[in-house]
Amino acid sequence: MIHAVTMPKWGIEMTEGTLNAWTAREGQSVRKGDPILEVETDKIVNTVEAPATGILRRITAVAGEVRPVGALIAVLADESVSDADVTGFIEAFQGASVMFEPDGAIGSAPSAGGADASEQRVSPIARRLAEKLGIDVSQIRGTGRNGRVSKEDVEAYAATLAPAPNANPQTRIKMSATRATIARRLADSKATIPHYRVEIEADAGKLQARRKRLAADADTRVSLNDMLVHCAALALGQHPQLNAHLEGDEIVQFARADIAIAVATPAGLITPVVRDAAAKSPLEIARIIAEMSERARRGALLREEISDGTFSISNLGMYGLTRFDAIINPPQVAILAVGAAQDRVVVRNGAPAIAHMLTLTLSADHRVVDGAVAAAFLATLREQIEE
Amino acid sequence: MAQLSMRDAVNQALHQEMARDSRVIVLGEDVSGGAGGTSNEREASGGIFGVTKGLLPRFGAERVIDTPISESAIVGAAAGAALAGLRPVAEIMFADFVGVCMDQIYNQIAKFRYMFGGKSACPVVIRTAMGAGMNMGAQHSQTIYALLTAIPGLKIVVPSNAHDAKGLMIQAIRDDDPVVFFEHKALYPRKMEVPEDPYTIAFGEANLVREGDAATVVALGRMVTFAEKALDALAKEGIYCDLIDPRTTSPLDEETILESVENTGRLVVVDESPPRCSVAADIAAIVASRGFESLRAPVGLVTAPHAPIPFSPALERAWVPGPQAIEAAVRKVLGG
Repeated sequence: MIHAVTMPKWGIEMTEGTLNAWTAREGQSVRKGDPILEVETDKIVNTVEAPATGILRRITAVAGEVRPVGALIAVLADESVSDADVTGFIEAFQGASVMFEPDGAIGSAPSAGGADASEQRVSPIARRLAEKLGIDVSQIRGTGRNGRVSKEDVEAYAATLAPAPNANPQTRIKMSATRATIARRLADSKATIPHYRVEIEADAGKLQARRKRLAADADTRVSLNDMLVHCAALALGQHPQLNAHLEGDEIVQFARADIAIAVATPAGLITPVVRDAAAKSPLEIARIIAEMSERARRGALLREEISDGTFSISNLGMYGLTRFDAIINPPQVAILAVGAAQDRVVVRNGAPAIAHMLTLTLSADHRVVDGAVAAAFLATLREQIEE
Repeated sequence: MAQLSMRDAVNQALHQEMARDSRVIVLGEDVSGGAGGTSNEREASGGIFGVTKGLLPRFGAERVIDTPISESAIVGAAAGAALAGLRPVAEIMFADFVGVCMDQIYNQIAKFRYMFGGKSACPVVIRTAMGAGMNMGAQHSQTIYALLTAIPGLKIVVPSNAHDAKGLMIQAIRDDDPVVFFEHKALYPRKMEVPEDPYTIAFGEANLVREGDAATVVALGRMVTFAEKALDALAKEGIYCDLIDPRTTSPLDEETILESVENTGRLVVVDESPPRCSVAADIAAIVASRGFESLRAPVGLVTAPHAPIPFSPALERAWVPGPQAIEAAVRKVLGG
């Protein structure tokens, strides 16, 4: 049996001891409890006793040396243990450092020591923000605990300061309820619906001519868009997959085409619905849209007049732009974006010719409408326009 | 500026306040000297940690009172002296012994001002040594500040360095409310620059020890020094964090913690205590309930295990939360 004799720990803060004198010799037999060594600490001198009975086979620290608490200072073993085993024991002894790992004898100075009880109270995060913004915190009245200046106080104070001379003048406008609804619905649509677009050009010459005849006969102003709403409604009759809503995992196809028309108003985009547009004449559609658009701009439309469209048309042709694409208005599954009808050079029978052309861009929800279906719809719509 | 250990910084605060205000007295076991010294001088050591050294010869036995081994008597006498107009600084040698005088602390000194309708004050300071890591076993190593933080009517101070310890001790003595002052044993020898002149540090004012926007680390007492090590290692990789040392757990500077988390979105709390009902759990709950929308990751808690503190040095080292655990927790809240 081999026993280690280690530097004892006699005090709370004792980290090491000095070997004063051995009272037993190497090779001497000792009994458990016999004094074998005197050790001195910075407070006391005391005797180390043999931890077991045996022969003091090896002394590993001599008088005068300093050893940390837990370090090996001697080995006790009986005769049966070979010298080689004692040497092996010493080499393998790892000891147990009983002391805590030193935290570093020197601490760093506190970064924001102060905070004297009599001084103005400022949260360190608020102080940092004020420094970053170049604001003198003593100018700020704190609203926190004990009148303390909070981060919020600094932010509020900063907002009241006159802008820097070269700053860009700003106007802050709180979103209206309508604007917030548009924002939420469109962000949701763009984020969740797999949009794709198909586009076609149509010769609107004949449609334009029909429009002029109608307008001349009636007292109502008829736009090309009114004509297009009618054409689209007829085309939807042949392609019910696009005249639909997606509700959960069900596709709802509608018998009538109730077409929502995008109308720009001062409060934002409003979409009055022309019910059963296929059954109405272009003139009727023109009257309905004119009347509803006027009320939309006044904010006088009823909720049911802007709800439950089955398909949408957005026309920005009046601004002269050629083409654009639109975001689907869920639960609808498609929206048609109409550009300006313009005279363009086209190739006809191998020769350049001038035609009154229109670009139509359909955005569709790929979950419901496959590309071929969208393409077929646009082809039908072109036929409606060109005939 | 002089380099002072935390032991000497607290000692200096006691000397300066006793010289400034004759109402300040010190009482406890071995506060006059003691500690088994061989010189037979009563003032030899100044208690087992040397914090009250030199008070007896300077201020006399009427103001520096050695008591019998009865924590209940020490705190009870201090409570009575405070009600009678003195400003006693009572010492409980180890924080673990607070259990013996718990009624005096939580039912008496914590309640007087409230129950007498604000007509009385009980300006007692209870100084006590705490903390593991020095191989002192399960009954002499605990950090039981969470237990007292839970009691309304007490102010709880947990300094992490010599500079703060001096300012907080002077504030504690001048404060009209009872204060329990936890001194970590492992921090006693740690030195730093400490101004000679008396100064106070307000309670409820956290110290921003390190700055950065990657994460917020909140640590107390000795854990601040470990968090500094962990954050210095992370800073070498370009990861910078706010390190907040609340300095007092009651009042707690909740605002600074919430404001920092508003910037960083990530929180790690380090506490040398078992996790249940700990200050770490309390801070996590405050941020979860009042700063939830700022959080971008679950709160990281670095605490001791729910177990008594082992005497075995190897096991004790595993029990105490260390710099590596803090570093790992920061990496985890960063998604690493």
